[in-house]
Amino acid sequence: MDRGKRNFLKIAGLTGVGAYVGLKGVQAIGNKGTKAKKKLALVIDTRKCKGDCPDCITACHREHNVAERHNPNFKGPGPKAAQGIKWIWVSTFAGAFHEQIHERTGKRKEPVVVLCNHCDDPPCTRVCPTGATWKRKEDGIVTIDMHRCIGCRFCMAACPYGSRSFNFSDPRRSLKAVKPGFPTRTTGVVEKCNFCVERLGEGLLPACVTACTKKAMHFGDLNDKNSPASKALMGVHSITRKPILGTGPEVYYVL
Amino acid sequence: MADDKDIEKKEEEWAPTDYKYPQTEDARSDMPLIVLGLLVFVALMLGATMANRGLGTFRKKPVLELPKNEKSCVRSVEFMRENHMKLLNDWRDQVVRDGVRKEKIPRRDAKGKILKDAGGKTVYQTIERSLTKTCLRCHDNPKTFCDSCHLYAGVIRPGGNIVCFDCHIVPNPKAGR
Ligand code: SF4
Ligand code: SF4
Repeated sequence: MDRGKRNFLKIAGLTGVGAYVGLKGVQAIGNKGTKAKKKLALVIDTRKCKGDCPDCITACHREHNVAERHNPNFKGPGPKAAQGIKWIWVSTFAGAFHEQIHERTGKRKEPVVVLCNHCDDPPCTRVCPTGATWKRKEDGIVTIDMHRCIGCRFCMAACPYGSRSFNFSDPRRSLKAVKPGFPTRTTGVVEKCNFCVERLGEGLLPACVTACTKKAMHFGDLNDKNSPASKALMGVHSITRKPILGTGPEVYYVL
Repeated sequence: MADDKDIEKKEEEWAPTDYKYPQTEDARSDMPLIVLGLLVFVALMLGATMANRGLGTFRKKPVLELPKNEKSCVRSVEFMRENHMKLLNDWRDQVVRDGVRKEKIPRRDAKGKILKDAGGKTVYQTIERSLTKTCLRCHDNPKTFCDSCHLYAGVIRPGGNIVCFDCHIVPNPKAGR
């Protein structure tokens, strides 16, 4: 090997190492910058919640002027609403955890409350062409700017949990009563659970957590060891929905 | 091979310079028809524009129903007149995108002058950046406030609604939204 070639290889190698180190450094800084200060999560204790009372659903839907529309002719799986709007609803263990609940537990048909998981790596926000939906850096809430949403429904296709609903028609027509403090939606936008971001702003807990008479819901910051959510997860067995997809759901179910 | 002279001769034959284009008498006699057509066109366009109330100067000045029990706004009247839509868009972005719901603003008197206390210090108040909770608390009927100007300026059609209130709820039941 002559000198020229040798030097070239040395320099090329060094450049490679340098680029790698540099990239890692940039990545580390990037990660630090985007890391959520808070990691808000909801823990649902299925030992207490049997999914048989409507308290959390009623409270949430009343709080956010959610126009529940049910289509009585709809016979498919899932909630009984083909064009329904839902923020929080009742599914079954088989539906919510189909790859985790085997056939002999006898739990498959049992109801369980589900909602948007406010995923760590949400696929829904990645596909939005307008930036109308995003994960908040400060607390990890996945939220939608209704002013910006063009109703393309890419996010609905991307969400593996069916957490998002589309307004096919003016929701005000099917709302019996409206609560003035919170806007309704308009035809052609997508909506979903917002972890009660407006209530959190006022120092309140999410409406579902407050409404649960069985005290089965625990809400808080998982970066804080003393938050109700962290405490509720301590020393018990809990699962999340479809963990294999790598979305990192922030709604936990204690078994 | 043809020489240059031959080519020149050919071109002359091809485009003879003394050719007379046919001149018609009809062209001049069409003039009155053309003018009439133009007049009809202008009249139609003007009529359509006026019917659409685009010519604001021909219409009555808008009448605004002002709040009875509140005399000071979040900004001066002049600022609001020109920039209320920008302010609302800013508030929207600050609340929805940044989660900053409150803002501290100086109190103003009825003329929009910033109030000072006895020691000459500005008097501040904290308000919520909210269309429903702040703007509509005083301007409780958009029909007699927002719509007046928006109709006049042709921002909405007669009988139309401002899109804000498709979603944001007007708390006053008399406003009929
Ligand atoms: S559950 Fe669906 S809508 Fe909610 S953050 Fe995850 S992917 Fe997005
Ligand atoms: S429907 Fe709205 S929020 Fe969903 S991807 Fe399209 S623009 Fe974004």
